[in-house]
Amino acid sequence: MLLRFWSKCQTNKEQGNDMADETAFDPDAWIDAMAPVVGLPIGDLERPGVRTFLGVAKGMADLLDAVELPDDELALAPVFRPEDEA
Amino acid sequence: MSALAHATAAAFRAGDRSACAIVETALADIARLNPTVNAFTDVTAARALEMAAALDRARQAGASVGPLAGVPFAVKNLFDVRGLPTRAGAKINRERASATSDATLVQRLERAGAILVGALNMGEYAYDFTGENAHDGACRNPHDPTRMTGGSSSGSGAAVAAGCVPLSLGSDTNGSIRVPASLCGVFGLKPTYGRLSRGGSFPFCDSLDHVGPLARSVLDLALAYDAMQGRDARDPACCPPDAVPVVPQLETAGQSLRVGVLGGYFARGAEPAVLAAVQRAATALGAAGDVVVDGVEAGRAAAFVITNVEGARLHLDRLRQRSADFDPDTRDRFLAGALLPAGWYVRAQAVRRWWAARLQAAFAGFDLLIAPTTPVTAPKIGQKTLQLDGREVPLRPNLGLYTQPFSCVGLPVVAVPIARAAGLPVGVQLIAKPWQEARALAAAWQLEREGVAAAPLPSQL
Repeated sequence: MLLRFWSKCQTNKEQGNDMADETAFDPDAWIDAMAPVVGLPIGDLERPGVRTFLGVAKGMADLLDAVELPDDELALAPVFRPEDEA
Repeated sequence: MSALAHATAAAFRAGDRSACAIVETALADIARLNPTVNAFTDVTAARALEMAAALDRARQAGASVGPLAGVPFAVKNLFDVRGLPTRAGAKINRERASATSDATLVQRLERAGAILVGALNMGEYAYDFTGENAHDGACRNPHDPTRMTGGSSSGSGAAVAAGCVPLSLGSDTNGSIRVPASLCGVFGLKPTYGRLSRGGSFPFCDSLDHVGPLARSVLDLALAYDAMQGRDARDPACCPPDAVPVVPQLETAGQSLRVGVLGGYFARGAEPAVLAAVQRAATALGAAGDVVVDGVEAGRAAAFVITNVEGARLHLDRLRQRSADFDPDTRDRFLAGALLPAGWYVRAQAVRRWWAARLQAAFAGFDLLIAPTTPVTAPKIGQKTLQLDGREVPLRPNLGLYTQPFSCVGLPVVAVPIARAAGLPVGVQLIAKPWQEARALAAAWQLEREGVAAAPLPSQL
């Protein structure tokens, strides 16, 4: 399934719909690829909403990617210790 | 029950009112007001009357009573209440076994003498800024029942604003205490992440979940906060500094504070009434200048992705088996969150740390920052979009536009209702450094004393 998803991405890319481009994202292809992997049934009722929210999340992910972080560190989340500012 | 918590406690201590009489009045007010505001999903009348009778006996016997003795309170229905299933705003959760013990904060408030009278409506699984709920019905704003309360602690805002109870508990992952506090015109405290125990509360997003009180006066908020402080093994994130009561600091902790007003992102999009409220608070607190922090959008994006992924993972089995039983307004967001790439989540946590450092730098010359709470006053129930800066945008995510950046990094915030001669309530946020709740509460208290902040009961309800 993931291979098919990748193929679809490549096809879209060749057709000028570059899914590697941050502005292009095919939520339906993502749903088709990932929902069976996760074991989630996503029917016609849910698909329009899921499509919309995947698009919103992709926009958020792009904002996150645009932040310049050091490439030699992956420190996750703030940690407040009791002595901080106390 | 128009009396404030501290006044109610004083009347009980002085023997002017019995706890039984106080509770009977609260139950009558709930019965009268709740059909309009739809704030309560459970009323724990028998339990409340039993505790009230015990308090009356204790006082008559000359025993010492707690600082909140005789004060009725209610909790968002994601807090465990012994004998009730913890519904967390969900149809699915009503099938859960009844809680066998109370949430830690319920226990601590009762230890201080407060009396639980019920559990409160909320957005499903706390994934909500509106106060609408497909299962229990929309919570309605006491200042105009055709309008939203805000969410997800919708009942917590409405029950206090309507005068059903002087004190409630809510939870805040992205703004769920502060948004209803703003739209309903009450005070709310979202403490530092890890300050108050979430033990015995139904989670949403562990990295960002906070719990705290809502009330109609700062002193009530502080009394409740002091009663609830302290570590708790039931919540692994709860490891605060030693508890220092804030009530004795309300006079002093606000003196000589260096106050800044957040501009840029926080000055864009809001209605004029909201910006005027920020200005009024800034003037009263002697704000020294504007502060512009870059990167707010990324900080908010981190909150969005972390919430989406953690919330979806929490509910994954329920989504697999019973998606039709979810509120449609939360279901599709949870489903989408279950499909997001792991790398997006890790990136969000890394950016969250980066954003915390940027905000910390913004505090270099300041002790307290001011920002709007919501971009608008209470929208109509059922409304789907907002006008922000002349653009029509989806309402649900954008009610939390100004609150998400702070809960994302755990800073303490007091939501303050700014007094208005007319019109719907409007609020501002007073944001402090980690563990500095006392400063934010003291500044809120100063605003209240000067008449700049107020939480009056609705003129008609």
